[in-house]
Amino acid sequence: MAERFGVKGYPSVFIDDVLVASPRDFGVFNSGPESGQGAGRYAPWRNAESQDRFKNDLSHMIDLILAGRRDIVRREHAESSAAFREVTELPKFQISDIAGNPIDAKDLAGRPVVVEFWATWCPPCRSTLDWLGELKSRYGDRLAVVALAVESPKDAVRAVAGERNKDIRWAIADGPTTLSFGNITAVPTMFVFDKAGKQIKIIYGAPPDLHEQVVRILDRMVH
Amino acid sequence: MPAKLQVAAAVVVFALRLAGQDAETQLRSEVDRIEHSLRENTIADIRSKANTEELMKQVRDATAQHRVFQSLEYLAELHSFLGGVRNSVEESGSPAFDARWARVNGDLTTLLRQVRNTNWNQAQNGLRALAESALGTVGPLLSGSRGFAESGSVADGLFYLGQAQGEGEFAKFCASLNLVRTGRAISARSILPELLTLQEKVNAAFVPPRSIEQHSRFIALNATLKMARELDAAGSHAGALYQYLDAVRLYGLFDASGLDDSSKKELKEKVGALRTQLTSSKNDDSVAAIFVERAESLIAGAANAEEWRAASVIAGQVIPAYFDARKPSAGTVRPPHKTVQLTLVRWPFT
Repeated sequence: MAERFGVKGYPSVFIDDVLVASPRDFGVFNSGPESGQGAGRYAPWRNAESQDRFKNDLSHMIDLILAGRRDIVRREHAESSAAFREVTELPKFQISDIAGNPIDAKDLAGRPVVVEFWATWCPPCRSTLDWLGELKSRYGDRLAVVALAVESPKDAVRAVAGERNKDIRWAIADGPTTLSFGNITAVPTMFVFDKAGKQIKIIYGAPPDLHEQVVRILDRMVH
Repeated sequence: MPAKLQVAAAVVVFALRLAGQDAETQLRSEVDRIEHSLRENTIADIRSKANTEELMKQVRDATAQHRVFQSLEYLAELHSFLGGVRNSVEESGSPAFDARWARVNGDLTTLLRQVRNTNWNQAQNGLRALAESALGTVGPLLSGSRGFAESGSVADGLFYLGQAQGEGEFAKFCASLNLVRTGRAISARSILPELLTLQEKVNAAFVPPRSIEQHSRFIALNATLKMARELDAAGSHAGALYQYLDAVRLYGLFDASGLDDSSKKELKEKVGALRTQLTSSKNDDSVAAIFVERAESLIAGAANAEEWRAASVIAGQVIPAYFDARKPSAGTVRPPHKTVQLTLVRWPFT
């Protein structure tokens, strides 16, 4: 069904065969009315009002479809997630890490870069971050690892970072930085860029073979 | 396989069960067999290896404590995990995956038929529940493996294909296990009314901040309920009951409060009394025994606050729900006049 609708990004919601919500509706992390960019109808998602709005809309759309008015629902949700963006190069972001030191994308050039979007409330992120620490120890200065927290309290981010590898660059992503990486609608999301900054792989979530996939790529790139 | 041969195969499996070793010996042999296979076919990933070793230890420890059902629950996890891990390290392209998928699909179809044709009427209901649950996951894992291979990577697809094989192997092991029913069989019935009632409670509970803070617990609970409904619809009533009770447990954990010393003492006595009640029951209450074994294990030794709460939910909510579900159905379910199908497509592994 996702293929039929050209849905490339998730989450997407269907009632029968009608697409009623797509990533643009849920926005991306750190988007919302206050950021002025990337905001969807149900953004920010981890918010009671957004979830109520989604519940009410969904009930309304189900009622319309049961009443045979698919045309209205289709008209209201004509756009699919075709606008879903995936970056092809390391974005030119500038941000401060949690210690206040600047991280500039151009300073990362010349070596492979792993960028991990994560959140303190995301259980799979914890184990991925542990493993990224091991990865950083294994490759040392030949690899840059940047962990960007989204929608997470500052204290909790500091606590998670404090228990893990200090050589990882830990930062809290602001709206523009998050948006520069495309539609980040899930955590963890991991980007692997080569020495020239070309995007080699984007991994949504923490698949069981995540370690093997990334190590295979890095072993080819890191000499 | 012709029908007569299928029946013959099932009879042979069950005959072996009756004539063979006792269940605990069979469980120990099975872990030994797996351990031996790991020496010949080692797991490279350190974490996967450690997880496998931990699961083998848990099976052995539970068996040593005479908790056969708990041992089986760990064994199910071990088979599933190991199947996935072993498969995912193999490299292959899409055409090779498709060919392999077709072969595994054929093998599993035959295996599932054999396991379903086993004479489960003579086995303990708890064993049947675990086997039916494993069988219930094979189909979704098989179809999921295809989806993951197409939209993720071949390695992802192979992982789930391996898990499907692992679940099938576990169900086959259950069919060969010498765990014969001694009590009266409990009458099997659909528990759809109970499932719908619980689903309504879960939906009502899904409000912020709980829906946000305990999101992953809601996912687990809804997945368990979905599984229970699918098993119930397929007539796998033992498996459906097991999954329903697990959903009751997960739901109960939302509001489970901490226990003081006096409540802990009472709970220990209650769990002991439940064990006695089940052991002396004239009925086959082995599905309840699965949970009592879990409770016993939780409060054995130095249990933490979370473990006490979990055991308290089993004794206070799961076991009463079991005895309620054993009664004749309280009502019929009137299907809604019109329905829609709601589909959420989400990123995998998030």
